[in-house]
This record gives sequence, structure tokens and C-alpha cells, in this order.
Amino acid sequence: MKKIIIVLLISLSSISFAIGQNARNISNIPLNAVNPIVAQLAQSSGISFTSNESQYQLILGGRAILQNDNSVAAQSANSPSNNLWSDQKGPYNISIGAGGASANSSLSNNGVSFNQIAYNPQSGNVGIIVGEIIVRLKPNSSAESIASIYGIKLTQSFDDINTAFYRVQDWQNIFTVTQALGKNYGIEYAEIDIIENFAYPN
Amino acid sequence: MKFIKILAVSFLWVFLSACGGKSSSPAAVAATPSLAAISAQATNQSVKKAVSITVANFPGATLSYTIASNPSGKVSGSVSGSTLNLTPLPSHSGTVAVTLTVSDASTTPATTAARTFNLVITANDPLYKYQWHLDNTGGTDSKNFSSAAGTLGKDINVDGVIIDGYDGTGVIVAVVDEGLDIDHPDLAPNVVSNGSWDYRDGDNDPTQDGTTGDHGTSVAGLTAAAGWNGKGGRGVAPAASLKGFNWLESQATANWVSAHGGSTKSADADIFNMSYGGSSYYDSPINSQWLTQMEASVTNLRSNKGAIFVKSSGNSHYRLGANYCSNSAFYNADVKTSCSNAGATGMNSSPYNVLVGALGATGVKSSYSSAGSAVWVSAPGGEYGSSTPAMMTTDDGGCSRGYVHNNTSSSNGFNNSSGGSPHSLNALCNYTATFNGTSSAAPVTSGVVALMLDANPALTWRDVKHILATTSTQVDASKANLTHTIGGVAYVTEPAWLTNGAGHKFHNWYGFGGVNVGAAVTAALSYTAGSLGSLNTTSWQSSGTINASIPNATAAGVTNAIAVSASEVIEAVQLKMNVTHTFTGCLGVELVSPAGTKSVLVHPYNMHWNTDDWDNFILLTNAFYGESTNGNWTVRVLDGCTNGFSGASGAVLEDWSIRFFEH
Repeated sequence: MKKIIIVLLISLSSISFAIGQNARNISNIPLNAVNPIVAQLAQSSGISFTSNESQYQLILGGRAILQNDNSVAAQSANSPSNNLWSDQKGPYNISIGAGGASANSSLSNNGVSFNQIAYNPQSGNVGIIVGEIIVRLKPNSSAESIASIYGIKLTQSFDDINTAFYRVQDWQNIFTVTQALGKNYGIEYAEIDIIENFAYPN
Repeated sequence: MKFIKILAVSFLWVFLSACGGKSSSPAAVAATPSLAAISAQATNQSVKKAVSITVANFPGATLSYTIASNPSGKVSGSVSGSTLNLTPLPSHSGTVAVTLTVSDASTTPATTAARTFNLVITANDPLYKYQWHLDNTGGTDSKNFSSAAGTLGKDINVDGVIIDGYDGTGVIVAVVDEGLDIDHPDLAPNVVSNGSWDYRDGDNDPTQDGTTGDHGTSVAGLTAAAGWNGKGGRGVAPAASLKGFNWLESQATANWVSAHGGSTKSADADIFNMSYGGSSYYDSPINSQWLTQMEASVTNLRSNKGAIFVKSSGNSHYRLGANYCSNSAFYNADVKTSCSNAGATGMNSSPYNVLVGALGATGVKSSYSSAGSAVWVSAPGGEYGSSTPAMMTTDDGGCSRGYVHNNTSSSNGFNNSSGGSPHSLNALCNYTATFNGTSSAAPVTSGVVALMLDANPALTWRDVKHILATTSTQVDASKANLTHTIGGVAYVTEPAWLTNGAGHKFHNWYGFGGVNVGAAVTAALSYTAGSLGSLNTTSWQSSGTINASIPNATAAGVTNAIAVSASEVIEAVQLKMNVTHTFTGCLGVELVSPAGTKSVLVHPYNMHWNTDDWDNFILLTNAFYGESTNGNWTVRVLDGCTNGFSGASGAVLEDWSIRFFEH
């Protein structure tokens, strides 16, 4: 999996959007998180998004680092003393930095590659934000044109299902770009790819 | 070491001489017995099977045959009418000279001709005999280096199909897994050059970097390890082509779509083997992009005949009360049945799957095999290889990586190299005898499907499913209902085999039964492709708001019916459930068809150990295959827990919906 390098930390004011279908009213969703810190930080981020018909809240200061990343900076980020909360998910160590959002900033300055994480209040689980935007195109829309219009990188396109995947540039914010894509008349929907349930060999 | 070679093979007849004389008797019939018409009827041969050779008769001749030379220890033979049965013995490979004498009794005196020919036995597969799933002798070899033998005949019945010449040639199997050792000597002959994809590095080589064993390489060997090459064992379809897509190593949604028919690399696959699973802890829906791609792949691939998705059911069936189920609430429930339904994870509730459960070497469910109404068929997956047999298959090549290394400690004699060197039959550490899981059952089934498609390439994906459903063998037929006492009633959590309204036998543990290659290929050969007609997916038909309280700890629960007026033939049924509950692991769901067939889709303590509420939770049942949609469909939702059980309290059935995949 390609990692995303977060250079600029999200400093968004409250953004809430639901681009997919069957979005839930998040205020009615019970919080099942085993650790209340996760739910609390997620809810306080003010950034929510819908993916695969589930609603997620960005966890500011949250990060997912591949377990096989042996860099000093990664080890530091994974150190319990630097984290409010940590766990493992799939091939990742996931954690919330002790400094909240500021910890994220520090890590990015050190050049650590990590993925953002988000919380699903319905399931009580944390998901890994892959770094790609899933776009279902309307017929006759061009995946390449969309990339050009928004200045984003087309990573894979699948004509049979009218779906394209994009990555944002380092200076772009994936949430705002996704929101903008969702409003494009040539796009059926756009949502952020997130892995909440990793598959494993049987 | 025991190195009894499994001969089998290709026969090449080379006639060395033609020395028969002709009688000078005036009464003699002109025809002289000749062996020129002899032809081998099989080119690939399993050791336990004799090759049958028919010698052409002559008008007016009365021929009889004897084997004049029968090289001891190399080949045994017998004559039956005009058919010669020759069996290469397992201790020999190479060239065997066999002299055959043919006599024509219609002449006076009888005319005799002798022919000597070479039977060329090509190299064999030395580990084949341990592959009980291909040929279960019930003897020592079927132990596969464990302590217990298998049961005679409890295999997939593949030998006859191989003899008939079906080996998977021309069929491409995409192994979507952790990796694929494309240079493995027993896989490389079947690996499509530059046909695989590595999602980590963006190249054509998905060989794993790790050293602890590559799941995908072992999976691939069960489907299509090369045959008759003097190496290892053999895949079910030993000439099928392989592609590897290491999606498990990089699980972005785009990569899933790419690996399962969305990319040009995978779009020529006939079969996608999916030996992977997800969590059963909560109601995780299938990724909507996956579902969209599956629909596209069964619609567009294989020149619109549709690709076949073969998927493992899961490895989480353990008796509650044992310490495999991690939630203490379940410990105390002491339910005699599964703590993880195969349908607990959304990816298993797609009707486009052939969901496969696992069988052990005695022909009954493997201890771990996840059961449920979503299972389609079962296939050998083995046990753990210590006390009971696991599967012999390929391992990451070389002794510096893989499940078997130098100095690997294992209770299985083949895998154990704790003395510092591998087993003498595994000098290069290219094989493992302890692979298991529904991860094994799926690739065995993928091999079966490859043989079916070799026999009849015109089959659609639904034809394949239909043939599997109608030719699989009922196993463990005497298995009785399993019950759990709920509210003083012995509630049937795992029903015995049922026969549905269309006459199909079904069991949540086995689906329609154990795969039977011989029967499946025979059916495929005579099957008219596309005869099921078009697939129609109905819209969801909803109960509307119910909001009925589900009483605690009663088997009666709440029932509700939906009337369906259309009269179509069912291929699969899905339910969408909305239930409020603080601990959905307590819930059970059963569905009764208009024909009176009852399917238990979920029973209490069967899934979702740590979640509340079902919100549009989708379940699949195959138990109604072939029945009519027409009539009342009655759902029962029950709560098997008492109040206070792990915080459980009042459950409410809000509403439910039903839809059919039908023709």
C-alpha cells in the first residue's frame, strides 16, 4: 500500500459532509469505542465523511504507521510514551499522539510516512485512510479530465464500473478535494477510501 | 526414506518390431493380427489407474491377447476382451518394454503375432501419494505424516477425469492472496509469464519478501502445481494457468478492483481464488466497490460468461465453551455449535461467490470450518497435520524462507527439520505437509472448476455453480440436529441435512456437499451452457415498520411474513435485517420458504461478539436453491440471551427485507 506523507497537518475548521448514500445522522449513533479517548478525539475533530455507506470521523493526531517501518522516527512515533492511545490494525501500528494534532505536525516535519486514521462510531472501530479518493463517474465523464480539473493524480481507472481512483497532491487536502469532487455534475459520488476491516488469509 | 514414486503419466507407444508370421494354411483368413491400431487412450495417468488400450479387431477375426513379457516391478497388466489394462507400478519410471501377443483363432492354425513396444513412463510426482484429497487410500500415505490415516475414498474423485484428459489446460486461475512464488519449480510451468501483479512495488512479481511462509504459494499449489514433472505433488488441475495478485499485502480498494477482474492483468482470469476472510466481530458490510466489480466480472469476463469467484468460508467454527471464542460471555453459554457464522462478514454474503467450507481426511467437516447458510459446497482442507492430516502442497521455494526451513520444528514428520536438515523428500524445502484451512478448500475447488471449464468452456459462472450444487456428494449424512436449550426448549441451532422444495440437499456445514470432480465434469460435458436463462435480481421487498419486541431467552422469538407474488426459480436469497439489540451475538434468524423449507441463517451465539444493533445487515442463504419464490416467506428472529447476559436487554425487530437472485 502506498503510504501518504502528510506534510501539512489538517487545520480545518469544522467540516462535515456526506457524499455517499445512506449517510447516518451521526448524533444518533451510539459510541461503541473501547477507548473513550478515540471517540472523544474523533468527535472533537469536527471532520466527518462517508465511505462505503458508513460515516467516519477523522481523528486529529491519529496515525497509522506500517509495522515494518523501522525508521527512528517511526519507532519514536510508536513509542507508548508519545501516545495517548495505540493499537494494531492489519499491517499497521495505529496511535494517537500525546500532543494531539501538534504531534502530527511534529511527525510530518520528521518525514515519517503515515496514514491518517478515522473512527466509525457505529462499529466502534478505527479505519486507515488509504490516501485515495474513490470517484464513481457518470457516463461520458473522463477520469483524466477530472484529474486535470482538480489537479489531482489519477492512480487507477476502471471503465467497466465507471470508477476512478485519485490521490491529492501534497499541498492539497483530501477532505476538501473529495467534497469538491462530490459536487461535480460529472461525478455520481466521491468518497475517501478507508480500510476498516482488513482481510486476512484463511 | 520412502520414495515410492507415483507413476503416472504419459504413455508413448513406440513399436520396436513387427515380427508376426502369417499362416500358410489355405483356410486362413487373410487378416493378420496387427497391433498397428493400438492407441493409448490416456496420456496422463494416475498410479492407481490402469491405462486401457483397445486393439482394433479385424473383420472375421477372433482375436485374443496375452502379455508375453510383463516386466516384474515395472508394469502389471491384464487382458479383458480386446482391452488391455496396464498399470505402471509405483517403484519405476523410465522405459518399459512390453511384448504383446495377439492370436487370431479364426485361422487354422491360429495366427499369432507378437509386438514389442516401449511404454515410456515419464517422471512422476513423488508427493502425490500423500495428497489424500486427490486419492485417499485410507492407508499410511493418507496420514500425510500425521498420526491418523484418512478414510478410503474420501477424496474429490479426480483420477478418472485426469485419465480422460482434463487437466485444466487453457483455464486461468487468479490467486488473490499474499503472494505467489512465480519461480517455484512446481508452479513456474503454469505461471503466466508477466501475468501477475505486485501491488507493493508495482511490478509483475508478487513473490513475497517475507521468510515465514507465503500463503498464496501454498494456495496456488493446491489448484495447479504442475503434474508428472518429477517434483512434489500435483494440483487438482495440473495444467491450469496461474496468476498471482498480492492484494492482501496492499488492501486499498483500487487494488481489490484491479485484482478481481478490473485490470487488464486480471481480466482474462476464468477463476478468482479468494482464500481470505474478514472479521466476524460485527456486521461489516461488503465494500460496495467490491460488489460493483464482482457484478461486472460475472457479467463481462470470459466473453460475457462470467468469471467464477471461489472463496473460503472462514476458519472460526469452534465449539463454544472451548477457549477459541474470545468473548467470555460465550464461554458461559456452552453452546454446542459454531461461534462464527460464515455469513458474519459481508464479503461472504455475496451471491457471486462459490463459498467453500473445509473437509478433513475422513470426509467430515474440518474442525475449524466456518459454517452457515452462505456456504455453497465443501472440499478438502484438512486438519492440523499433527494428530490428523493436513494438506500437502507447495511452499515458498528454498530453505531460507517458507513454512519449512532448515531447522523447523514441527510435530509433522515431513515439516520437521529440527535436526538441522529438511525431510529427505523435501531437500529443497519446497513443500509443506501442514497447510490447511478453508484457504485450502477454496483452491481445491478452484481446481475442480478449472477441470469443469476445461471440459466445457462454454459454461457460465451460474452453470458452474449449478453443476457444483447438483453433483456434490452428501457427506456426514447422519449428522443430527445440534440444539441449544433456550427458554427450556431445545432450539435447533445447526439443523441436520435438509432436502428443500426443489429436491436439493443442503447443510449449513457443507452447503450442497463435498465436491465430486468426476460427477461435476461428467455433468459439465453434457450440460447445455446458459440453460438457466438470464439472472434477475429482484428489488428489496420490505416488511415495513414492525418494531416488535423480541422476548428474551425464548426460541419462539418474533415471526413476520412477507408475501411474494412472482413465481421464479431461486438461485439465492438475501435478507436485510434491522434489529435493535445491545448485544447482537444473542440473536438468531431463520427463514421459512413457501415450500416449508427452513433455513437457519444465524443462531444465537453465532457471530458479532462485540457490537450492538443490526443496521441493514445483509445475510445470504443458499438453502432454497431451485425453489419457487411464490408465496409467504416467514422470518423468525429470536434472542437467545437472558436479560443481563453481557448487558443484553430488550431486542426489537424494526423491519426486514428480502430479495431474490432468480431466473
